[in-house]
Amino acid sequence: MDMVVQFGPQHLALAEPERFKVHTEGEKVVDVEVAVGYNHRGIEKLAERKTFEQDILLVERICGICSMSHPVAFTQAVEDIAGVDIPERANYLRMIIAELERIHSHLLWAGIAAEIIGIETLFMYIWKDREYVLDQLEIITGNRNHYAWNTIGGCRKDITEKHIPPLLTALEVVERRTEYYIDAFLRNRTIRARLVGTGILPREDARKLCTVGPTARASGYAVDVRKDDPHLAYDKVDFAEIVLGEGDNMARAKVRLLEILESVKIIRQAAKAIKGLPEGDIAVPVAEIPPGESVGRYEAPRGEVFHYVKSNGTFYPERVKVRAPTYSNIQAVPTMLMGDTLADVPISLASIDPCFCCTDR
Amino acid sequence: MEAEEFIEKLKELLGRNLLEYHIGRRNRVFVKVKNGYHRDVVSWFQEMQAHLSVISSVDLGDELELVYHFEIRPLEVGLKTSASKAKPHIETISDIYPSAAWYEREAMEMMGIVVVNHPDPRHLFLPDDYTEFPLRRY
Repeated sequence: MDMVVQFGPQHLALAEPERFKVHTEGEKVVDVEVAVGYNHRGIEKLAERKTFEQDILLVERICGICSMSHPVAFTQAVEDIAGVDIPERANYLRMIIAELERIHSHLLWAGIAAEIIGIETLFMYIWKDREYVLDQLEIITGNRNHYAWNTIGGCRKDITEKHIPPLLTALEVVERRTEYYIDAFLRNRTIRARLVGTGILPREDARKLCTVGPTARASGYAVDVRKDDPHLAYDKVDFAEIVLGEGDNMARAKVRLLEILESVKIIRQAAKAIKGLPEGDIAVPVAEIPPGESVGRYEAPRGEVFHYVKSNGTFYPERVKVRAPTYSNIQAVPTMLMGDTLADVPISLASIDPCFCCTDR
Repeated sequence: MEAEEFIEKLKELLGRNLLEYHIGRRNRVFVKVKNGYHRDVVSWFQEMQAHLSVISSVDLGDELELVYHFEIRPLEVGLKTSASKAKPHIETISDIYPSAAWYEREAMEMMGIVVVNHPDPRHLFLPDDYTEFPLRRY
């Protein structure tokens, strides 16, 4: 007999309010309806009423985790309209903070996944190690999240010589611990039983539904803005794009954990590179934003963040369109859940690393 | 594909129905086509396995515009088409790109564009009984 199970808007497995109507036959999922909008705050409309400078801080607050990704995408779009090239050092500075954000976001996800699987010790371990990254972010930017790092034309603060040694020490700890977690995820029988073969998203569906980020890459669909549309200093550092083919929950976990190691590599190279660039040369002044339009893209931890900005020559933007990665990926959730059992729904939902605040804006 | 080559191919495909184009910095290309002809272009993009990032809606004053953002490596193409505010009818592309359905639903509720032949024209973010179009400017 067909039965409907409501997941959300308030549900133990969901940190944020969103509703999934799961149709089941016995234990088997036969259909899923997604209802979004419980978190809609009208940020796109609000952005039209604020100046470009104020908008940087506004888009930073779309999401508490990707609080570097949105400003980077937005400022890149505005800098394109203004025809400004930011200093080389600012590119590296933005990249270091953005990659630190990727590490802490992926560790946060791994912790949540461990908790949903039911291994709370692992959740505590991982979140303890995430603190090493957050401490560094606090030392460098002044905040654990919402770094206020960007301005139009560059960065607001600099990373000085004294920041580098503790940063490299923290990275060493994170790298060692991540290797341990990769081992734990790959070998623990409980984790394998919950992740391997569940929530499968075939490559063809991932491509047709235009998924992004680790969700797409775990299905063998190689999209990574850092490689496809080089920006910041990503074309000057050496790192691998992690693409796996299985498309199940385990593959998505593996992609994220392996990406942490790549991010560590990127930050190490960047920390070395900024030594050769003049200190303090972090921003260029931008007097006015001429009429025009452009697109800013950045590979956030969850996938491509997309900002379309249209300017009319005043201090206020004509239109700001924000597309967060979960908006793309959540449309693939019904495909993932179809045919799985009801018990796999929470972990499959969590496997796209959903951020509903971002989606609803 | 280079930006110039892309524009040439588009001219071949559309002729006079390609209204304007603009090549920006960092491989950003914006093209505007006559309403109705955007489906031909999107079908061509689909053959090239382009990636649909999102669909933006813009209020131009007398007209309402949709911007389809596609990634055709290395280009980032904004395909525009517009309709008058009095009769803002633009045909769906959700049969070509399934993920467009949600973006079109958002354009319908936020900007009041009527997407013709849409499979599921319900509200997406706003409450079902909300009748205004909050993103309209003029």
